[in-house]
Formats: sequence, structure tokens, C-alpha cells
Amino acid sequence: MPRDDLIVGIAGAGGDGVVSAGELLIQVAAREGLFGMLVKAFGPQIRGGESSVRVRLSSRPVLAQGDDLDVLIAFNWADYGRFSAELVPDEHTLIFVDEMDKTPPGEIPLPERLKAGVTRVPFEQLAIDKGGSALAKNIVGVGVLAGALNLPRDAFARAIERRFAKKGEKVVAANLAALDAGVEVSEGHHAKVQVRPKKPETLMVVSGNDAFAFGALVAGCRFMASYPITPQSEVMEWLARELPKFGGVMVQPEDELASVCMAIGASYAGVKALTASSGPGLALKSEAIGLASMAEIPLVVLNVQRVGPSTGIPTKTEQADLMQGLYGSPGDTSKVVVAPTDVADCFTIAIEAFNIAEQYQVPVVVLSDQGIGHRTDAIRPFDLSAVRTVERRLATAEELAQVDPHHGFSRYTLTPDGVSPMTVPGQARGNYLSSGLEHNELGAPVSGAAGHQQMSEKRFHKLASVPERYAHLLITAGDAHADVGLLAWGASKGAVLEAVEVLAASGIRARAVIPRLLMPFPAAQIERALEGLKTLHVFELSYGQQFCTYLRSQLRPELAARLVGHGRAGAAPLSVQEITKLVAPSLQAAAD
Amino acid sequence: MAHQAVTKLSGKDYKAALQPVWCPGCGDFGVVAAVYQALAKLNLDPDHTVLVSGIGCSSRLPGYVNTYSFNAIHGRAIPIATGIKLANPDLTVVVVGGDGDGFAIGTGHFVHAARRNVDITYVCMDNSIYGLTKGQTSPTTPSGESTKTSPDGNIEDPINPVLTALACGASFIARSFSSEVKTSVELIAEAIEHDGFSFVHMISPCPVFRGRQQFDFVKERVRGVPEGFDFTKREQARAIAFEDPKEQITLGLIWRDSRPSYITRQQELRKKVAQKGVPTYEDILHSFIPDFGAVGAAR
Repeated sequence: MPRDDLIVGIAGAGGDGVVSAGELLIQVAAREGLFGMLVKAFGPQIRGGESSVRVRLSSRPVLAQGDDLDVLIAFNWADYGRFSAELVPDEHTLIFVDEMDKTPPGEIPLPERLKAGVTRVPFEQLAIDKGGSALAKNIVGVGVLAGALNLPRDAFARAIERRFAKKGEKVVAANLAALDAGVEVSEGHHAKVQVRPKKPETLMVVSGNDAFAFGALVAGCRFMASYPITPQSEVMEWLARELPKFGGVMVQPEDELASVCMAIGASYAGVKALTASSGPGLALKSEAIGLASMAEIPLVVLNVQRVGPSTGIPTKTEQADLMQGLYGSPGDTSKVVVAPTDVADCFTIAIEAFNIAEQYQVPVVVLSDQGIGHRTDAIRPFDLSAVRTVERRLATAEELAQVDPHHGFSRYTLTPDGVSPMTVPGQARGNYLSSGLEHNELGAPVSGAAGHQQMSEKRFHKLASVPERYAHLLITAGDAHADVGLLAWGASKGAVLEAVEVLAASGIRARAVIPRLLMPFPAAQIERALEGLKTLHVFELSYGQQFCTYLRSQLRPELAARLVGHGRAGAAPLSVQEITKLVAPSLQAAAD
Repeated sequence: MAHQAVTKLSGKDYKAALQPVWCPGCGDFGVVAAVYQALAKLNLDPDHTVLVSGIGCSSRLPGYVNTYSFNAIHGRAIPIATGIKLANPDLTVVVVGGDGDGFAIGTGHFVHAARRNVDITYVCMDNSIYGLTKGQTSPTTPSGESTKTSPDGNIEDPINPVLTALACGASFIARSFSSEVKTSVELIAEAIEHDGFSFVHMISPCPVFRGRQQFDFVKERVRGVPEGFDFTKREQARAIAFEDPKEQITLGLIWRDSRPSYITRQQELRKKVAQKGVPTYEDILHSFIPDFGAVGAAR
């Protein structure tokens, strides 16, 4: 398959400006019309520790973070060494290291065969000489990248002018000099692949967490209560800044329990409400999610998953909160679970989540993950004109005029579709008892078996139409006549879709099936999508193979029997190579 | 400003159809009567009033009041009420519940609600026992008392709700006794009118699991605030908060300060933010699109 992408890795110590170099690169490339994906990784220090970025650029939308690097900049070998498993060079990689690094050759964290090809660059010295400060080291690095990747120097210069404008002309000039010094150093070092935009395109650069927060705002969310937790905090930080402008509230309560309960209270009072966390926080919220289910209060709960259990690895990704998301509340909790699959999807799924929550008066758990929440993509701008929002079914004044004031409003009236009109405080004659206790149609507590059966049916039956109404949440891609099926969910989509293309290029016909609606399980839709497939490979970042287990419990037995689970523990995102390696041998066996 | 009812309502207008499940002699009957009368005294519009509770005997109270009411989960009434108030500051929001709900499983929320000073009222009905689960030690059970989970006598010391409220920065602190309905009506009404977090420590005996002697013990020790008492003086409030309930139990308004409520501060913040202009969704979308403009020489 001809390459149409470039992958850059940069690693360094705190203060080396690794992340801002990566951000500058993806922004300039996006401005030039190149799609991109930026993945950051940090050491355990709170501030000032080693960090790395990996930027993949392409003339078409980038699906996954890619494999071996085209260019590697190591500001020193020791810090690069901590990321060598994530930033892997090969024979074609242009490798630059700071001249000042005195690591003995035997200790350089590179395969022997690559050591001779390393170019030593005086990053720091050039930064001091030309940029006036060692701080400009990363800009020298950006200059090297501009040259090595054949990206226009002037585009970087404009970005640098804009970025440093506030610091005065002198700083701008010094940084431009540092850029040019880098460009000069790169002479004669050019990546093998040339990537040019296919057509001029306006692209946006956004992280998954910011995309989700923006989506929530656009969906009409005007209340958020959340407790800080990695890797969710950016969502609440974004909304803390934006919600007050729209008359909304972002409040940071004392704990996860208060967060979800405040959101429930706000929604009960009529405002679309969000609470967000990561796995440990979702566990603390689960009792209250049951309350929202029982009292039929719309609620969106975002879980940006991280490695678990317990504190796990807070800055790394995993997909092992699936079962918690699906079943993690006491009792038979009727709820909806959806999962975005990439950065752009965070925006879309945020809107869908609010729509479902409001339409069905139900808690909606969104399972995002660190891999997309913290990732920054250069993508086509969101289409605001395509956004449709749904409002909850409130009882009308005419309906409320019929209410017998002695008994009050019948909040949980049994209806054919299971959704009862609700009221919010302030609506005359609309008052009722909202309760976490099992209740009758009026909301009064009941403890009989028949009443509990009837109301359980109501709460589950009302969701029966979700899979059909939200059928567009099922993603299928690849060959209609394939016999190899690849099933995945969430952030694993990218690598799976790219694997389908790679397999197709080597004559292997595969189809990917990726549900974004996980509960209620869209059985009919998924079974249709699986038609004709002989092998069903399931990919996920879960050592316990939670997705495969869930599929087995939900699919027809003959399909369930064909599932082959490839789940593994997270911390590193799924790669295209590991998928193709696992899929190709089985296909070979089938062909023999 | 609280929404008033269009016509003059009386206490019984706030009585819901649902019948209380409380045991005969329960202090909570006195409290619910006081709640009806306090709401009537302020003539609050039932449609703009929300009663919120957690779990416990006393947490059943919202179901007996003809307003919007929410009987939620154990310990979480305060955050739910906070969310309601922040979402719609026009509503009058009153939290009711027991000592287990407020000072064991939900203590963390009490501490921060007091500090945050959201304009809600919290009436904690303290019977010093877990009644709904039939007689276990509560955070306010006096030391030495025998309960089902401390059959040989409680070896823990109880929490002091009024002192806790004072320490946490509650801006209105009062205490009443369920059988003193008139005092309770006054204090609950005043608490609702207070602009900030208001706390009423309501001693409400449990004749079933603490026996008649609990009522008698409290009855013998209650008194009004001392002559010349000033509830705006920290030292005076502190003296009452520190009094030994074995000696005396002071009822009345104990502490009040007039610092701005969370809602007031939030409205000020919104005004400040609005001065900077409100973006459209398109504006926000454009902020994600790198545009380095045409700045200077490089172009």
C-alpha cells in the first residue's frame, strides 16, 4: 500500500517544549490542509518531567497513530529512552539528537543498526546563538521538521509570529531566527515520503475532550458538575470557561457523589445536565445513576476511561470500564450506553447522548477513553448545520389543567411507548413525588411484586426503540463480500478501519463492525451487519475481554460461537500491525 | 425572590394525600406540621417549592407535602437540592432528613454546602438513632447508650451538628425541638427566608428505639436563648454550640451572617462574563481552526 502519511516523534525533558513543538506542527500542517493526529505522553511528574509527542500527518483523514516513525527528534537519549516503545524508528527514519548529549554509544536506546545514521544537531546551542535562549530549542526542532518534511517555512513563520506577538518584536525575531537555523540544519535530510494536501481544505484542530465539551454545549447542556480526575478534567475546564457565557453553570463539588447528584438535581429542575469522570469516579457515581434510572431523570454521564483497576495508570488508555458502564449500578438499571470512536465522534456522540437522555428520560453513560480524550486531531470542521437537538416531553398546560389537585400530577403514567410526560418545578399543577423508591404512576412508594414488575417493564420497554431510531450509530466499513469480520468499539475503531484497508491491499477482504450504541444492544442491526462473515475477530483493550464477553451474551448462539477474542490489557493503543498479524494467519488457515 | 402563592394558603393546603408511615409518637409528626405552617406563613407557591430528602424515616417527609418533592438516595439530598437551586434559583429549595443521612453518610456534603453558601434550607431531624433500619447507633447517639449495634453501650462520642455547622461556615444556624411546633415554624420560616445556606438542627425523638425517656430528657433541658443573646456575635454562638446537651439544650436562632450567597456571587460572575460578549457556536468552532492571519513580513 503506497504511503500517504508522515509520522514524527519528538521526545525531551521538561522545558524542552516538546508538546508545543508538536502542537505547532499539527496546527501549521492543518492550516496547509493536512489531516493529522497528535498523541502526547508524559512521565509521572506533575510538571517538568519528560514528555513525548507523536504526530501523524496525511492528505486524508488519519485513522490511527501509525507505526514506525519517519522523523525522530530526541533532545536527549535518556528522555527518549522512556518512550522508545512508543516512538519506534526503522531504517528509513531520519533521527536527530542534540549534539550536547554525551550518552556513550553503548547506552543509546536505539537498535545497533540505526546508531550510525543519527544526525547530531546543536539544538540548544543554535537556540542560544540564534534564538537568544535555550527555550527556543523546540523552535529549532520545528525548523528541522519543516525542512525534513518539506513543509513551507513561511507557514511556520506566520504561526510563530502569531504565537509570540504578545511578547514583542524581539522575541518574534529571535524565534524566527531559531526556525531558520533549524531549516538550515535539515538541508540534505528529507523524509522519503512527500505528503501534500489533495485539495485546499479548511481543517480544525481539536482534542477529544474539548470536542465532547463543545458537543455538550451545542446539545443544550447548561449544567455540569464534576470532580477533577485524569483524563477527564479538560472537559470540565472547557465548560467552566464557556458555560457562564451561556447562562449555564459548571460547579466543582466536593466529590463524585455530589457531582452526579447535583447534575441529577439540575436535570430534575429542567436543565440539560452533565457529569463526567473516569473509571474510579464512575464507580462512585453508580448508585446515583440508578436513581436517575428509577426516577426517570435525563442525565449524561461521561466516563473518559483510563487504565484500571483502582488508580491504574491515569494517563494511559484502556477499554475495561465496559461492564461497569453497562451493569455498574444496583438493581436492574435501565440505561443507555454509547461510545465515541474518535475525536470528531466525541462531538457527535455528546449531542446524541443528550438527545437520547432527554427523549427517553434516562441516564446515558458515554464511554470515551484517554486515547481519544487526550488526543488532538486535525479534521474537517464539525457541521453545525447538521446538528439536531431533542427536548424532553413536558406535560402541557392543557394536560396539567386536567390534573386532580388532590392526587397530584401522575408523573409515571403508563404510556404505549413507556415514556411519560414529565414536569419541572415551576409548572403549575405539575408537582409530584420523584423517588428512588419503587413507585406507582403517581410516584407514591409501592412494595408489591406486581407494581415492581410493571414499572421495570416500563423502564426497559421505553428503550426498545433506541436501536432502530439510532441505527446510524452502528459503523460498518470494508467489503460487502468479506468473510473476515473485525469487531471493535470506541477508540479501537481507528486501527481496525486502517487494518481493513491494509488487508484489502494484500487481497484479504475484511469488514469492520463497530457499534457506538452498546446498550440497549442493537442486536438486529449488528446481526445484519455480520451477515456473510465467517470469522469474527474481536479487538479491544481489555485483558478480561469484556466486549467479547458482552457480544457473546447478546448475539445469536451461532454467531456467538464464532467470536474470537483478541483482547489485551491497555496502556498502549491498538496498532494496525497487531491486528493484521492476528487476522492474517487465520485467513491463511481458512484458505489452505 | 421566592414565588408567592396567588391566593392565601393555610397549612392544610400544603398537606399531600399520602399518609405518613411514621410510628405513633414520632417527633417527625411535629416537624411536618411545622413545615406546613412555615410554608403557609411565607405563603410560598407550591409549584415553585421543592422539598428534597435522602433516606431515613424523616426523609419520607417530602412525600407528605403538596409541593414538588424528591425522595432521593441516602446521604445525597444536599447535592441534589444544590443542583436544583443552581439550575433554577427562582425555586425555594428545602432539604429534610435525619442525623444518619446528614451527619454520617452525607457529612461531606453538609460541610461543603455550608461553605459554599448556596441558598437552600436544611432541616435535620435528629433522633440519635437509625429508625428505618430499626435501631442501630447513629452519629449523634450519646456515648453509653445501648442500641442494636452497641448492645453493651456506645463507646463513641457523638458529633455535634450545631458546632459542625458553625465550623463549616453555615450562614444561618438554628435549633428547635419537634414538640415546640411554634418555635419550629418561626425558625423554619426564617431559615427559608435567609439568603444563604440555612441549617435547622431539629431534635425529633424516636419513642420506639430510644424510648419515652429520650423525649423527657430533651424536654427537661430545652430553653430559649439567654437574655440579651446576639446571634451575630461569634463568641456567643460558639458558647451555645459548645454547651453540653446533658446539661442544657438551647433552642432558637444561634448564628447568622450576611455574606453573599453562592447564587448572588454567581449572578455577579455572569454579569462580568457577559460584558466580554457571548460567542455564537460558530465563533467557538472558528476558534478551533488554526488561522495565523497575515501578520507581517513572513507572508
